[in-house]
Amino acid sequence: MTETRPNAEHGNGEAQPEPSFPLVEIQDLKTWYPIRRGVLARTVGQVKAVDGVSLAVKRGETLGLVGESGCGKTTLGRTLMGLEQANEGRILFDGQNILAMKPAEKKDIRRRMQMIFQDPLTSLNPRMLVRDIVTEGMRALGMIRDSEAEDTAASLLAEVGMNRESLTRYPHEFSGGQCQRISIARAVSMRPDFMVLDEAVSALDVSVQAQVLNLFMDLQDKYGLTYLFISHNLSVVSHIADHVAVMYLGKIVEYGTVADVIGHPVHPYTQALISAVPVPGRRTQRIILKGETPSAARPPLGCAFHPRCPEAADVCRTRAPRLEISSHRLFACHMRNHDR
Amino acid sequence: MSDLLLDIKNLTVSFVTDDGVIQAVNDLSFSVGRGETVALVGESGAGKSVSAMSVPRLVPMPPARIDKGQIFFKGKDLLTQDVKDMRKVRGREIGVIFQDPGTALSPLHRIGWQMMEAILAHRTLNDDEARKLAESWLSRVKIPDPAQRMNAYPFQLSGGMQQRVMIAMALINEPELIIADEPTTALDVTLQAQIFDIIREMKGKDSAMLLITHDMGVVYDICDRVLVMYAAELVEEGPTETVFENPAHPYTMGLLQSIPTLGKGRSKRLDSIKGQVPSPFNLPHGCRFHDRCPRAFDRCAKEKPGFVDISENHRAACFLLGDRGTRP
Repeated sequence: MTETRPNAEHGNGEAQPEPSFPLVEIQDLKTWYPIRRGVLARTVGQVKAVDGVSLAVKRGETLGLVGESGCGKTTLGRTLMGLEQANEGRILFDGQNILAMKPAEKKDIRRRMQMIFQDPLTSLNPRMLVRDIVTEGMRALGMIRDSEAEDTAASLLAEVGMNRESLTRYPHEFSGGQCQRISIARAVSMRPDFMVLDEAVSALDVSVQAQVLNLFMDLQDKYGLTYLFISHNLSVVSHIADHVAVMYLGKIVEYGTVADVIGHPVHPYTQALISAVPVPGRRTQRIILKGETPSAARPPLGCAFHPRCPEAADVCRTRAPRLEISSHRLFACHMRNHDR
Repeated sequence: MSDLLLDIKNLTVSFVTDDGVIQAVNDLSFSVGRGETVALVGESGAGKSVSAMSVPRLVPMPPARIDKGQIFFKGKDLLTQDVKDMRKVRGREIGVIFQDPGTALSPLHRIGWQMMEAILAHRTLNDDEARKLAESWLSRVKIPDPAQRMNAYPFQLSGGMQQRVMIAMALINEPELIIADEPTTALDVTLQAQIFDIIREMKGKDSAMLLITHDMGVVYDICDRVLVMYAAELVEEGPTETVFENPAHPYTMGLLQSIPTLGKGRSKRLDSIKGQVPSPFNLPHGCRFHDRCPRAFDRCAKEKPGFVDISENHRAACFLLGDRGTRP
């Protein structure tokens, strides 16, 4: 891995040869939260929310990040956006390590990375008009003049399928699906290259969820956007993503194309996770996992999944498996090694 | 009345609010047979929960008001029972599993106490017997160290464990009807699989279940029959496989098409239903789905379609079905 790569100017620049390296590359990223106790608030332990994750998101693609509550998928997304402080590791955005940058240098990177949150209503300022919400970023960066705000906002709203009348209304006057569209208009206004979509459709009813998923796909086609799509819903991820990473207790346990990971999962956890999803038209034998996800403050020794794994052996209790490539597949499991 | 455990006739429920009266359930009729598992599906605000919770009369009145209808449970109309009789039905003959165990369990009492209360309210057992029974149910729902957990407060348990306690409480008196309102919506899929495994095992052959959910996968997996609600009304009902393979109402079709399915691979676009669920203050005239329906015609905006039988036990309310259930 080279230290830094030549900056590929601005992402939305025209006719530039597409660089061959991924848009986002995460290298051995660790985000730990200290556990503090007592009057002196001494650190007595660490919650290893993200514990040594390496991933790459290719340009124009969607990487799905799946896992159950508490596995660290949201922390990973927030660390990428700079909303959480990483302890270790590197995040290369277009070849540059953003964790080593000074705040002033990050200004343009910030613009190029946007995020959509789960709860559409709480991620919009209730006291701002929709017009101001969607153009606030552009005005702050001097991308438009105040006099242009009205028209710019209207065209942004049109982009996400909303009409001009919405401009002078407040977020509470809209349904969840519409609020999510407003959030999307706000993110798109910055002309980003990369978007973190954190459970962006989870709070929506199925018919609205389908509309918003379609919108994400349309915007991706139109602007060549790259997505990190974080969700606990495997069906949604398998629909929108090109590659999938499965996370368990702060670590990636399996990575591959959607067809591989969803169609032919290798890791016992992925297998259980996929078999647990009820699918209309399919009645299969479930793999019922015992117990629940352990606390990330006290992860089990060895492979973090071993207490729930139906196939755990002695080696799993003592030594943590590494993410290894075996016949073009990437997974972390002692029991699935290539020599088996 | 032989095999029908629950028979709801023309149930109409409204809510009186400061902004006006909202109709939550309109002219709903359906039945549940003994031992049957029936799904009630639809999007938020469709009236699923109000319909189901009207059975044990757990919809707070006011603001709710039952305008019309009867709810026959084992042949007697629950809506005419007095409060004392209802208490004998709830928790004994009808068990309820709520969506959010965190708010349904009392935060001030140990779970053992809460479970024993559920037993002692309906049976003449002494404390020791009740305690033993409660403990045995905690182990049946696979809670480790049941004797110890009896002393735990709900906040000391995880969401999955709380939900298992709720299930144990709802089933402990072996009710004939179980009403489960989105019992796994707050849980992860691996826990959801555990919970449904437990419900299936515990339910027994003789108890029926009315399951409220918006997860079509769950419906397909465990329900015999499915009822589809839209904007406070029933629009289609039928055996699960029939409805999935051959949906008759355009709303059901749209609903099924808008679900991304696992394993289909990356696909282009979902066939979503356009527009959004109508506001309860401003329900469309005629068929309530007509303004979102891709196949609506003049008549749909003027008249309300009646139910048409398509095949045995399969019916839907749509003009496209003609008068004898054949599609034009």
